[in-house]
Formats: sequence, structure tokens, C-alpha cells
Amino acid sequence: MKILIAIDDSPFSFEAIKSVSERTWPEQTEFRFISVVEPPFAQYAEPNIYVVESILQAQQAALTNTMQLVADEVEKLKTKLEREVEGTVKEGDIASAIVQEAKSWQADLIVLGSHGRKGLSRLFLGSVANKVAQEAPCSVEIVKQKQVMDTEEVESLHTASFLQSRL
Amino acid sequence: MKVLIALDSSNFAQEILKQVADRTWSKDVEFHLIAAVETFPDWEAEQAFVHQAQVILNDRLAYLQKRLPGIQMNAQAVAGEAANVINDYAQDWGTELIIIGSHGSTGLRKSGIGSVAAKVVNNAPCSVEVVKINNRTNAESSANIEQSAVK
Repeated sequence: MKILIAIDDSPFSFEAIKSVSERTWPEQTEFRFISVVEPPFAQYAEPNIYVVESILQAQQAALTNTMQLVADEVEKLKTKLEREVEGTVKEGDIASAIVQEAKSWQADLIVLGSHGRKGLSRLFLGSVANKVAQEAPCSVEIVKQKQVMDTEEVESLHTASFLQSRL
Repeated sequence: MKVLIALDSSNFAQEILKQVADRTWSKDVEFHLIAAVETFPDWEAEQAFVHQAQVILNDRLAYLQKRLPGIQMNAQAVAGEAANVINDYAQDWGTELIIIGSHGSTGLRKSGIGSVAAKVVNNAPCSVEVVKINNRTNAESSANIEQSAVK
């Protein structure tokens, strides 16, 4: 069995890793971490010569950090599960890159957090998790954080349902 | 670990259980199988459908028990809207993982996951595994069927 674990540096990812590391897996299970860095300029409508340099530097830094993150998690999981663990870092659209990796590696299961770094609320499924679930060639496990709702969230939920009922 | 397996009456259910049984589980895992049955205005008719679903579910439970001996499990058919039934049950039981098929018996296979699975994932109180029956597994399972036919 091949398990692809998609991570970034968000707490949701750590929850996903924890859920994998605490479970029992068949003898020959292989694990592979994937982390995807979005390409630069995606968020800039008109990149100009003055920002290009700093953007490229920031991108390089992001890639370096991500490789370190993946390498660390690979080591940790290897020690914990005593299984074959690999890691890969890709550049591109996050969901597409995860689905692509699942296809080419022939993963049996993708595990990912319900939200990545950009997630605003754990109450609604993140766009990456959603897209991966839709397009994946294999099963997808979406790991949610244990529900510890604080008052603020409950209030925002109430506001949301209030707004919904008004529509 | 408490695992809730949401099933419907499709052949898909058998494939999900097969995948669950093929995995290794720790001894402290506990499975609950759940099937949601559409509600009817007529209570007696509804009970009849629930009973029918329970009978099918008991069969599936027997299969899983045979494949995973020594693991605690039970099965429950419940009337109600599928996604709500599953999520409410998950909440009440303190479920840690819901396993559900990407499509049920009614879904058009156009989109990646069906509406029930999508709703469960969105509203679930815990982690959800959406099991996809892709072409690869379809080919495998039909190959299995052929094999057993040959035997």
C-alpha cells in the first residue's frame, strides 16, 4: 500500500501526520510526503523589475524551507514507523501537483489536512482538500482537527447561519 | 480508535469493506457500520425499509467480522437524510474517522465525489476518508471475480 501525505507548515498538516503515525499499517506500506510551493508571480498582476529580484529570493527561500520541512518529517516518520518513507517537493498549483503525484506514484491513499496555510476557518473545507478529493485517482483522507470550538468561532458560525437564513 | 463506515445498498459497499479488511488495524479499533435509509411519511413503511437495510447491513457486518476476527464491530441502519445521519452518528459516538464511498448507488459518476460524500466531508466532526473506486480497482475486482469464477 502506498500512502501519499500532503503537507505544508500549517497545524492542519501536523494533525494529518499525527493521524498517520498513530495508526497501524500493513507490513509493506510505503509512505511519501509531498509539499507543494506555489510558483512566484501568481499573486502579482503586473510584476515589475523592482520586485522581481525579491520575489525570486523569497521563492528560493520558500523552496529551501519546504525541503527542510519535508526532510524533517520524513526522518520523524521513519523513526516512528520503521518503514520506507520518502519526500518530494514540487512547484506548481497545490492541488494539481498532489493529484499528479498520486497518479504517477500510483498512490492508494492521499492523506491531507482539511485546510492549508491559507485556511481561514476549520468549519468549511479548504479549497485544496476539496479539489484533491474531487480529482484524485485514489482514496483521500481529509484529517480534521479535533473539534475544540472557542466562543469566537461559535459566534461566527451563528452569524454565518443567521446570514444564510436571511438570504 | 473509533471508525464509522458509512455504506449504502450499492455494490460499492462491498468494495469499501474489502479495502477496509485488506488493511492492518490495531487491536483497539472499533468499527460501526451505518446505513442511512430515506425517510417516508408512512412510519410503518419506513420501518420496513430500515429493517431491510439492517438485514443487508448485517450481511456486510458478517463479512467484515470474518475478515477481521477479534475486532469489535456492530451495524446500524438509521432513517434520515444520509449526510446528516452519518455526521450526527459520528458526533454522538465520538468517532475518530469516517470512511465513506465517493459515490453511492444514485450518483452520476460525472464529478469526482458525490453530494453525500462532499457534505459529510464538509460537516464532519472528525477526519473523513473518501474511498474512490477507480478504474484500477474496478479492473482488479472484476479480475478477482473472474478468478473465483474459474475456481
